Amino acid sequence: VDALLSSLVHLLHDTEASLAQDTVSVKSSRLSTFLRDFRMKRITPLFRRCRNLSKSRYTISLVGLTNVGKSTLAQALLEHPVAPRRNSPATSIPVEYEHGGEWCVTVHSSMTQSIISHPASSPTEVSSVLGRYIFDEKAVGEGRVTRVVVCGPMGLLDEGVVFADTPGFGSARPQGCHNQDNECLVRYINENVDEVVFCLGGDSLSLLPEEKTFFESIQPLCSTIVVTKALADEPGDIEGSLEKYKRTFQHVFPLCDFMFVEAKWAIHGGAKSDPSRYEASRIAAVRDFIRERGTVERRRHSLRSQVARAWTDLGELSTPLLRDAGMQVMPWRSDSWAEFQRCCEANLAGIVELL
Amino acid sequence: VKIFVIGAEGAGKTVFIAMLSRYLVEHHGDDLMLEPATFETSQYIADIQSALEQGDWPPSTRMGQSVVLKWKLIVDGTCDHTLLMYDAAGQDLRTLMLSEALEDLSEEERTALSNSESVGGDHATALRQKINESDVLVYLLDLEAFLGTSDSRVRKEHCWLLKAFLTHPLWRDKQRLVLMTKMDKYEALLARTGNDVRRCIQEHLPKHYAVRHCLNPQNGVTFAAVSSVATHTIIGADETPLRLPSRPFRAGDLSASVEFLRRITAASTSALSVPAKTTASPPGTESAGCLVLLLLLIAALGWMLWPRPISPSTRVSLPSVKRSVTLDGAKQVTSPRWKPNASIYDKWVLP
Repeated sequence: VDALLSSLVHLLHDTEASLAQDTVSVKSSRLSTFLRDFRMKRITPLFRRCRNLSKSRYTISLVGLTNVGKSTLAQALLEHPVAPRRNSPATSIPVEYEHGGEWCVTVHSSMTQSIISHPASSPTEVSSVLGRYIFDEKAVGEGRVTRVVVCGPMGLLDEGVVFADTPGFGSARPQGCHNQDNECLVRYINENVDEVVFCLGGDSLSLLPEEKTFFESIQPLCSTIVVTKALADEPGDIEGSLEKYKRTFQHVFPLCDFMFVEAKWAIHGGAKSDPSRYEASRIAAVRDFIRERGTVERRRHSLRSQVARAWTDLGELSTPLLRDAGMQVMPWRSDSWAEFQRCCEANLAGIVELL
Repeated sequence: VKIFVIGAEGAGKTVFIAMLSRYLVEHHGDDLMLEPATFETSQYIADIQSALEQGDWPPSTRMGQSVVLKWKLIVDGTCDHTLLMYDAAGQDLRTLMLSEALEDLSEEERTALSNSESVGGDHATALRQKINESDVLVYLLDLEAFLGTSDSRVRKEHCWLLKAFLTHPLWRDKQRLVLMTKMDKYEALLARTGNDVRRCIQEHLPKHYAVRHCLNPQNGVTFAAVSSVATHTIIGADETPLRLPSRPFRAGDLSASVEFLRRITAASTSALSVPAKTTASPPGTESAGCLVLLLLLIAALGWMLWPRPISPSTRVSLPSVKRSVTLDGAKQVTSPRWKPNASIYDKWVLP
């Protein structure tokens, strides 16, 4: 899939460059601009994501505004009460959860250049150890805590995915960042995270400007929007309201899949063995999404289907432009086209039919 | 063996030269090694490889700069050959070769290239001399010159460069190799022509130019394809995809050029070696043979020294020298130079 995406990037770039050289035809230049936009907005993000697919430590991160319910969602997904909760902003430093035989919290400090391990006997103990560190904003601000990793028998992560719960925007203050900006959080995400799940609060139909800005800064990594607190107890047209929500925000989060979840229902449903409540929470869809990223092969498969979707969209979107330019087929550059076809045949049997 | 590497700027001459020894290290053991014979060569190659190692392309060879690299080719642990490789700036070679091509052009063809710069000066003379002195000429061709531009002038110019290389009268007797570089980029195109490099180049040359017929298989030029260094794609700061050397850095596929190198050096060895006595003669036959030889020698001397008139038809004219060659103060070498056996290579087909 790596070779396939490389060849697709080159195909679009080379063709747009040869079309751009045609200074006589305005229609060719319009087609060239379209190919450029398509490459930058649709293919480049997939290409960048592709680089991380074969990592043994594939990190998926929950990102969202403070108090949107990321830690609650993390707890619901991990099915263990490991994430400490409180009413004020809960997390001031990213917490990485990974699979391990025994419960253990590892705290990294760059100030003392040390790693402290806290073995724990239960998830509740993990939660209290975590609370001591991540609520201590002074320790975080001074660099006494720079990274926290939680290990334990968490079934969702047994295939090697690492799950990162990040501070909400505005409360991130890792070492060296005493201001309220989100620069450090963006840096952490770009350096450590392979895929982002962006969390939105479904209790309001408005979006804060900083949510939009933050999303734009991490857009290439983001494939999924999870809307929390969107499901209501009252009977009514739930699907209709979810669809309305999706329609309202889809243009702000292009190319992202929307999932709606009520994490509290999943926690309570799980604890009280209430399967209907658990099912109503729709947490299973988010768990499936993480499971799909469990192995390199499944991650590749998921990316391949996104490439195929992008290719279909390219065909649809370019048709009117081609018609306008008086062309029947896209004037692909011959060498790049041959290379792309070769990669398709080698990597992606399904896409050959699309060609 | 003197090898001159020719090509326009960006064709990959410098990287090719630097990667040849690296390729042998990676893919051959002690059976075939290419070792720098001078400190300068070793330093030059180390600088280029260091840039490649850092995932970047080495800086272009400066205009006016020409590099002579001296190598020792070691086959099966013994130093068999000294190779001299010449590298020069693509711009200089392009200008020089276009001026060579212009000499045989019709008025109409010359007008098409009227904007070409003329080459002159000591550097051009030295370059021309080095090319003419070389035993082997390697022309590096990047198909991007034809596929990546719709500027007909640029395409024409590259057509003329190739034509000059293929048809230059002074270079016809030399071993010539056209190497299509950056093969990894054109692998699929090559596969479509059944890995026939000559046909692949021919198919992508502009159709209306006379250079296509110069690519016929009978002209004694070998065609091959190589990729000097393994590359990967990254997205640059301006969102443009860039092909950069892979990290960890490693050689690409240079097997075709190594095969060619083996053949020219093998031919050079057989041309220079004195035929050894192969069978032992029975006693007595040796002295009888000597007597026959002596008689033949006397007869020949007698025939040569017998006075007779010279007819005009037996006069032999010396070949005219097209260009006067200055040898930077050095004297002309009078010893007979090795002439490779062209027929061997005519039949050579890429695996």
